[in-house]
Amino acid sequence: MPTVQVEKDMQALVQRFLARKRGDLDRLRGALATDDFETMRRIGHDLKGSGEAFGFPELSGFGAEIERAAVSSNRQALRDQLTAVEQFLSHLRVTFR
Amino acid sequence: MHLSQPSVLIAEDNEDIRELVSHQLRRMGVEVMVAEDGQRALDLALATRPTLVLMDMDMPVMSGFDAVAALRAQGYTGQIYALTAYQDGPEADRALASGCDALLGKPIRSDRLRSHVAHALGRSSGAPTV
Repeated sequence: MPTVQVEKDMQALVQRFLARKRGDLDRLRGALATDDFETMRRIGHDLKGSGEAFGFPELSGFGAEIERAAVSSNRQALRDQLTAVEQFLSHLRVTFR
Repeated sequence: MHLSQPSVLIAEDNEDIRELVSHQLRRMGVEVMVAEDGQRALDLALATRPTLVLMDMDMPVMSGFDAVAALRAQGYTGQIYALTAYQDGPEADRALASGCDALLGKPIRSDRLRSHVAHALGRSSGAPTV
């Protein structure tokens, strides 16, 4: 189970961030269903840019893969990355110190 | 409107980054404004003349490169730091050529962000000069 420690001061910010990322999963599913690769590329690009900044480098890695797969219209890679992000977020444990 | 206190305009289309950087700068006691695209950044910077602009170079509507060039062409003399994943190479050169004073690397690291902004606001030595 991935566990991440974050400063207490960042608690509200990180919780909003993770809620938005869970929302992005729904947007990704919708975009995958309609072959909207530009939306998927943008979601991947943003995730790549923000994950590590919030203390979740794994999310930046997933974002980079999503962006790359969207650019090459690789549906299977996009499905795999979507599953990987779902699993990461569902098992993620964040503690605030 | 011209702001008399040190202020920073964050021009960034990624909502997560806007929120994170705003949070860090407000903790420093800095007045913060935000823009989600280059055109909005240009309009806001010309209207308020912030001490520092943190400009994402890859934004919709108007790119950061174009916004910075337009700001300089219209007489904005404050500092502009490019937010970019590229610390060297053509993108970095282009950012500096467009009128940026320095590059602030992505992914954003809080300690680096705070030290860059403190330097830009003249707070590095503990004696603000702006």
